[in-house]
Amino acid sequence: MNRYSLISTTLVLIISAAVWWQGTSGFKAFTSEAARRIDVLEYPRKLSGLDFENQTFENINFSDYKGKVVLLDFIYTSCPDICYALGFSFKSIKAELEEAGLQEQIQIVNITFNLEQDTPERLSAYVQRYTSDHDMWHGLRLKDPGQLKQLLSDFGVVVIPNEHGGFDHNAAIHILDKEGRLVGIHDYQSQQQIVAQIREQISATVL
Amino acid sequence: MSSSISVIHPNLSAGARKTLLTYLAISAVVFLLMMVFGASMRYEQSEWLGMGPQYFYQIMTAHGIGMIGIVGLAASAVMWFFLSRHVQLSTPILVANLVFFLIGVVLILGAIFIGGFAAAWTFLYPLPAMGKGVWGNHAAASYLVGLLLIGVGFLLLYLDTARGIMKKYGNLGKALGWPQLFFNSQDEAPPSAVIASTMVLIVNIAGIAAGAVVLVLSLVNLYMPSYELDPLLVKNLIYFFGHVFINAAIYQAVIAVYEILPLYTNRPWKPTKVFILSWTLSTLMVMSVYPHHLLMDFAMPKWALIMGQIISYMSGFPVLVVTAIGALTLIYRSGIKWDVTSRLLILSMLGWACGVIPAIVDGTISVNNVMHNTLWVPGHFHIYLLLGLLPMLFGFMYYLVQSNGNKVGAVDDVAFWFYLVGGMGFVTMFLLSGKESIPRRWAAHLSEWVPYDRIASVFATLVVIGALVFAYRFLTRLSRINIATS
Amino acid sequence: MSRSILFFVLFLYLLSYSIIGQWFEVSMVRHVLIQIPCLVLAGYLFGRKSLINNRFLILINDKGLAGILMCIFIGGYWMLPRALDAALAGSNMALVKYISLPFFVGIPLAISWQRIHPIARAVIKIEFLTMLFRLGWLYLVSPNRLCNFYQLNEQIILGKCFLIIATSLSLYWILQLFAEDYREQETLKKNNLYDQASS
Ligand code: HEM
Ligand SMILES: [Cu+2]
Repeated sequence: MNRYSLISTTLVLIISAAVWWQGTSGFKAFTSEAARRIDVLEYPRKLSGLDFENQTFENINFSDYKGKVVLLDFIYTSCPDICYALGFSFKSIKAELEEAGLQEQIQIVNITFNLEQDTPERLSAYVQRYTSDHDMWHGLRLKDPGQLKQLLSDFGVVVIPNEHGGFDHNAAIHILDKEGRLVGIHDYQSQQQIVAQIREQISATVL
Repeated sequence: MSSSISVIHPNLSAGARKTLLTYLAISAVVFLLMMVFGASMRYEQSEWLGMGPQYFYQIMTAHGIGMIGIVGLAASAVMWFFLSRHVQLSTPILVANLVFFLIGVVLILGAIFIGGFAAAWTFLYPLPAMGKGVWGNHAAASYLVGLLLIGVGFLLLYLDTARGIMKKYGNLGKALGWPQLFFNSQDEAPPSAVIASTMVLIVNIAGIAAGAVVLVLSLVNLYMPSYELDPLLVKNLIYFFGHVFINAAIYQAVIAVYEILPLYTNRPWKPTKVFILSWTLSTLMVMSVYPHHLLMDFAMPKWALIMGQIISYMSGFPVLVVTAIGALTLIYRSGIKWDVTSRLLILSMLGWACGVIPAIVDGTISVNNVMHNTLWVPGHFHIYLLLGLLPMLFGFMYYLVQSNGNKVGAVDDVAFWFYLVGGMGFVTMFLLSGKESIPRRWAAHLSEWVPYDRIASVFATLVVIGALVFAYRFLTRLSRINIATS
Repeated sequence: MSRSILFFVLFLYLLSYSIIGQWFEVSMVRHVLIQIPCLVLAGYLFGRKSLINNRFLILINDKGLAGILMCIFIGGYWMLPRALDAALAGSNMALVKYISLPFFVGIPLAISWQRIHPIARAVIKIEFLTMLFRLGWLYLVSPNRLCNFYQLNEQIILGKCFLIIATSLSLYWILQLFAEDYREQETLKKNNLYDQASS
C-alpha cells in the first residue's frame, strides 16, 4: 500500500470514529430518545418560562413549582393507550411516595399537546381518573398555542398525528428538580429508578 | 503391496505445511484436554471428585464448545490438505482463521473460567442473560463475541475455498458434479475432495451466517433486555448453526477416508454417479429443509418440529450410506494392510454408521417423549463423534506420522484397542443410562444411578489413555513428518 | 450514452433532494428503502461513469481500502434510527444527508468495489445480508418506536421489508453461484479497463 493510501485510510478511520462517537453520544445512544435521556442526565436543562392554565383555570408557570420535585409527562386526553399506562404509573409512584411521607415534596403534571380539543374541563376529568387531589396533580395547557413548538423542543418531544385521529408521542416520565430544570427522563415501567431519582432530588439542597 | 504408504502433496508450500501441522498439533492437545474434562464430569457424577455443580457446568460448557470448535478446526485442516492438491487455496487465510480461532478461544475460556459462564455451549436464549450472580452479562458477552470471532475465521476459510473451487470448476453446481449427474457429461467428474468440500462450504457458510445473526441478536438482548426475542426461533437458528457445523466437520474429515483408504487397498475410489447424487442430496436436504421452517414457521407446530428433527438427522444419510458401502467394497477381499491408520479409518466408518441408529430411534415420536433429555442423546452423538469423527481425525494424524516409511510401535496398537473398547463401553453406558431415564446435564446423580456412572468412568479413562498415546505420538513425531512432492 | 446516465443520476438526486423529497420522508419505508438508496445510487452511477479511472483517486485508494471503509462507516451511520431523526428534525443534518450519501457512500463504493480483495467482497455481501436480517428482526421485536418521527406500525412494516429483501437477495446470490461460470469471468477481468489502469 502506498503512502497516500495509508494517509487517506487513516483519515477515513479517524473521521468515521468521530462521526460515530458524536452520533451515538459515545456509543451509548442509538436512538434519539436514548440520546435525549443521556443528555439531560449530564446537562440539566433550563426550560423556557411559558404560561399555562390548569384544570381549575389557574394560571401556572413552571416557577410556581419551585422547591418541589416535578413529575411530568406529555399527553392528550383522548389517548387510548400510552397515556393510560403513563397515568397508572404516576398513580403507583405517587402511592409509593405517600407511603414514605413525601407527598408534600412532589408535584405531578400532565401537559397536553392537543390544544384544539383539551379544554380545562377535559383535563380535569383526565386528572380525576387517577386522583381527586387537584392540587398535587395538575393537568396543564398552554395559553398561547403558538408556544407549543417551543415547549416540545425544550423537552425534545416529538408528536406526530396518526391515521386514527390520535397522536404518536414519546412515552416517558420527565423529572424536574426543585429549580425547575429537566434532570431525568425515564421509561414509565422503570418505577424503581424513577423513585430513586426523586428521592435523590428531594434530599438535594437548593442553592 | 507396497511396504509403506506414501504421503504426497504436489504443491504444498512450506508455510501451508507449517500452518496445517500447527492446526493439528493444537487439535491433538485440545482433544486430550477436553476428554479429560469429559471424564471428570463422569467422575463427578460417580461421586469421586466433589467439584460441585458450579464447576461441573463450567466444565460441561467448556467440553461442549471446546470439542465442537476443535473438531471443526481439525476437520478443516483435513479438507484443506486434500483440497489444495486440486485447487489453489490461500495460506494467509488459513493463518487468519487460526488467529481468529485462538482469539475466540481466549474470550470463551475467559468467559467460562474467569467470568463463570456456564449456560452450556448452546447458549440458548434467554439463559445467557440470566446468570443470577453466577456469571455477569460481560461474561456472557465475552462468550458470544468469542464464538462470533471463531465464526468469522471459518467464514473467511470457506469463502476462500469457494473462490478456489469456482475458479477451477466454474461454479458450485459443476463442482458438485452436476454436469456428470444430470447432463451425462463425459468429462471426468471432480475428485471426491472437491465434491465434499463444495457441500461443506455451502452448508457452513449458511450456518455461520445464521449464527452471526443470532449471536448479535443475543448480544443486543443481553444489554437491552426489552428487546425480547422469540425463544423458539432463536433455538432453531442456534441448532441450525450448531448442527450444520458439527456435521460439516464429519463431511470434511471423511475426505481422509476417501483419500487414504484406497492407498491401503490399492484400489481407486472414483466418484460414481450414485456418489455424486448422494452428496447433492445431502446438500439440498440441509439447505432446503431447515431454512424453510426457520423462516416461515414462526410458531412451529409439533409435526414440523418432529419432521425437522428427523430430516436433519437424515440429511447426512445419503452420504453415510454411499461412503459406508463404498468403503466396504473397497476393502472386500483387497488384502488391506492393517495398521493404526487403517484401523482408525475403518472404526470411523462403523462409528458413523452406528451413530445414526440411536438418532433415528430418538427421532421417532413415541420414543422421543421418553428419551429426549436423557443421557440417550449424548449417547447418540458421542457414538458418531467419539467413534466416528475423532477416529477419522486421529487416522489422518497417523497417516502423516507414518508418512513414507516412518514406523510406529506396538504401544499404538494397544492404544487403539484401549480407545476402541473404552469408547464403545463409554457410549454404551450413556445409552443404557438413557434407557433408565437418567437425565442429561445433571451434575449430581441419584444413588441408584451412580453404578452406571462409575462403569462409564472406567471406560472413559481407557479412552483418555488411548488418546493420550495418539496425541503424544503425533506431537513427538511432528518434526519427522515427511510429505513428498511427487 | 454517458450523457443519458448523467441525466439519470441528476434525476435521481433531484428526485430525492427536492419537494418530492418530503414525500419520501413522511414514510419510514420510503425514506429508508427508496430515498436513501436513490441517493447512494446517484453517487454510485456517477462514480462508475466518471471517477473510476481518476488517477488521483486510484492513488489514494489503493486496494479500495479507504473507499470501502468510508462507504461502510458512513453508510452504517445512516442506518442508525437516530440519524434518521436528526435528518428530519429540521436542522442542517438534512443537508448533510443529501451530501454524504452520494459523495461519501455511493462514490467510494463505485470506485472501490472492483478493487478490493474478492474475499472481502464476499464478506461484505454476507455481512450486509446478515445485517438486514438482524435489523429486520430487531425492528419487529422492538417494544418502542426507534424513531421519534415515525409510528410503531411503520417500523414493523420496514422490519418485514428488510427480511423480505434479505431473503430474496440471498436466494439471488446463491443462484448466481450455481448459474454463472466464474472461470470465464476471471479471464474476462484480465482484459478489463480498470485492471490495466491500476497495474
Ligand atoms: C473421552 C471422551 C469423552 C468423554 C469422557 C465425554 C464425556 C461427556 C459427558 C460426561 C458429557 C455430559 C453428559 C451429561 O449431560 O450429563 C458430555 C457432553 C458432551 N460432549 Fe462429550 N465426552 C467425550 C468426547 C466428546 C467428543 C469427542 C465430543 C465432540 C466432538 C463431545 C461433545 C460433547 C458435547 C457437544 C456435549 C454436550 C454438552 C452439553 O450438554 O451442553 N464429547 N461429554
Ligand atoms: Cu398517549
